[in-house]
Amino acid sequence: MSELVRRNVPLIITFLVGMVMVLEYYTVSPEIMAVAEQINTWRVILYACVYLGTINLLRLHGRRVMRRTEGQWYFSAWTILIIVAYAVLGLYYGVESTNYRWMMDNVNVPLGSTMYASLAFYMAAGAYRVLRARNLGVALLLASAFLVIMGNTPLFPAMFPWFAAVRNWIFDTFVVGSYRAIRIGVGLGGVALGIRTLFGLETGYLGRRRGE
Amino acid sequence: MVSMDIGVWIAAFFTIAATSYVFKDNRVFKFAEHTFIGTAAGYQVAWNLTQLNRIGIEPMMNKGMFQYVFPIILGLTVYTQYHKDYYWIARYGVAFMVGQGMGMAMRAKVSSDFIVQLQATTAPLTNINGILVFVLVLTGLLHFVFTVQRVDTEPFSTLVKIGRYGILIALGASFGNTVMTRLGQYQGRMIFLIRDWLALIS
Amino acid sequence: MSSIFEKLQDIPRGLIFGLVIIAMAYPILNPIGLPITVGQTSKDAFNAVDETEDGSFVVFHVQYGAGGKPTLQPAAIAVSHHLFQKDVKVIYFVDNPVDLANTYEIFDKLDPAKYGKSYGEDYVVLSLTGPFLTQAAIVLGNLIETVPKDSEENNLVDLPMFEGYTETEDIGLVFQLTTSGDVSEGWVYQAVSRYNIRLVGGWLSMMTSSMIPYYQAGQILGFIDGSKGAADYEVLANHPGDAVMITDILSLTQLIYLALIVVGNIGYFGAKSLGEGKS
Repeated sequence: MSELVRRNVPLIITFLVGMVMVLEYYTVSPEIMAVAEQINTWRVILYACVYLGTINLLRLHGRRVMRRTEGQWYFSAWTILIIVAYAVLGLYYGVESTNYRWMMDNVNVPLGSTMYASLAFYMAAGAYRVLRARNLGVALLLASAFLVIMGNTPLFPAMFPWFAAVRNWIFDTFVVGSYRAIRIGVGLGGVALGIRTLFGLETGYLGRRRGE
Repeated sequence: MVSMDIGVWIAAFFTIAATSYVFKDNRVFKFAEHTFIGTAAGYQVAWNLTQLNRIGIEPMMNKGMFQYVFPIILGLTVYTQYHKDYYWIARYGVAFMVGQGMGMAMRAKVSSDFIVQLQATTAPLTNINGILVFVLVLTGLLHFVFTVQRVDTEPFSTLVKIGRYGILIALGASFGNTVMTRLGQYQGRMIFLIRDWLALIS
Repeated sequence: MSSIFEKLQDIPRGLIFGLVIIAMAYPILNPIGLPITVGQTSKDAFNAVDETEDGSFVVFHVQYGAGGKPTLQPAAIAVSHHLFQKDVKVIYFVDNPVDLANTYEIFDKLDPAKYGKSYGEDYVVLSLTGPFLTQAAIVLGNLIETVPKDSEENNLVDLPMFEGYTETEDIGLVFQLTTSGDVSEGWVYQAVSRYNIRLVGGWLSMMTSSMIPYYQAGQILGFIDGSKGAADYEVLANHPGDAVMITDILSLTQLIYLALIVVGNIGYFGAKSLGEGKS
């Protein structure tokens, strides 16, 4: 009974729900489509109830504040304050209000864009230090990168129009060919993983406790 | 003239603070980093609660869609994972999520990532580019076959080598595009600082 | 002599970063103004939008967040200019508050009223949450029942544009602007594979490599390839903006990148030929 309730019933739920979603794609049965639509709505509602990431963050930073971790606790206190402020103000003003949009535009957006964009500097330093044409493979990689970079800007095609044509040719042949091979492989792997999960052969998502 | 908008000054401060890490780790960057983490987590809570109300609770209260109480219960079961005795109850919510997600993800892959891609590979064999793509797809796939002993034997080792060099050229092209991506992203911030904040250009 | 090659391999990081910043700032202050050659993929994207049937719905997925905003927001504005010139109804669809703010900024920048378009009659903004494939399935197949209200708390059934809306059959095009590989693949699975709806993509340049097989196979009709694609679309839509400016600047900054790689390799091969130093 314990094994049934703790493991087998969840596996059956995974199978049934997954099969309805797969059947909805391959059949034209209105009943299956209706059930699938309900499952999708349930999924969205379920997603909106789960805040594990935020809870883990609050636990992590809360611990640091309680322990007064040197050099860190005040940053953690600030993080907790901001989480609560953005959550409360979002509900108070409304996430779609002008005030909340102002908070997004002037705090979150510049931070988010700059954090991602700063990689430009690391790429410059990394490319300078690492990209050495040590062997044929790396030399081909470098040559391809050079031609694409030169074809991407207006400067080189303005001087020599064939730069753009070469860049396009590399993408239309080598990139399509190689990435298609990767995509086919990933697609097959995804289907295999999906079948294994639905049929209960992959159970990692259930988690495990000692003695189970 | 420099912008008088407080929002622009806040945005400029955070832009420079986030960039400062590139030169050296410092407390201003840490402050900016923790602010970013806090805003991202905070807005996610507000957004999801708003959607939960709009899609789940209001239809339950106003339209009699009482079946929506079940996904709410399933969602709440996920929090039992923190309990040392009742952690297994979380598996019900997780099982629903995984089943739905896996079903959605795998059902179209056979068509989109396999059948259509193979058709597109074999179709244009009338010109040199089409033949090159065909060869690169085959040799690229061969490069990733690890379940058959073939590495040292001809003609497989040559074909695998062709596949590997094709992939390296493709990765070089991808790197070239990545350079453009990162530069373009930071240039957007530079335009903001120079035009919108310092107003050095109109 | 050997110390020169060693030094060429060891330029300080601060100097590299300073060079990159100068290469970015200088062209902003002194634009070069090079002509833009519009790429085929951008032309295909433009034509796909142009050929969308009058009276149909266009689902415009704005999903680039803060990270992709500098590159893809100009594209969103140019595409919106194009869409508002046509007789189509646009459903802007977002799944987080950053993209909601980005979407309203599009309206601030282009003023739909100038095109005679009004909210609720010609365009609407919807917000949703959840895993992406589920969101796409809902928007394309079960919108009115699952998402009863728009982002301004109006009931969808009360909005004039949804009068007589028959879900999937009325959707003439899906246009996505995203920084997520899962999302761009997901639209191929849901829109093209499941419902056979025409799809145009837009993403960061670094995603082009993995998505181009779909374009070559005809599953994606055209795409906006990062800032270059955004600049192309601005030119095609006759509304040059930030993307054209960024592409202009790219010439000098990418030149710096190439120069750094060349210098590093000169130092490497020079030191190697003298039989010393780093390998």
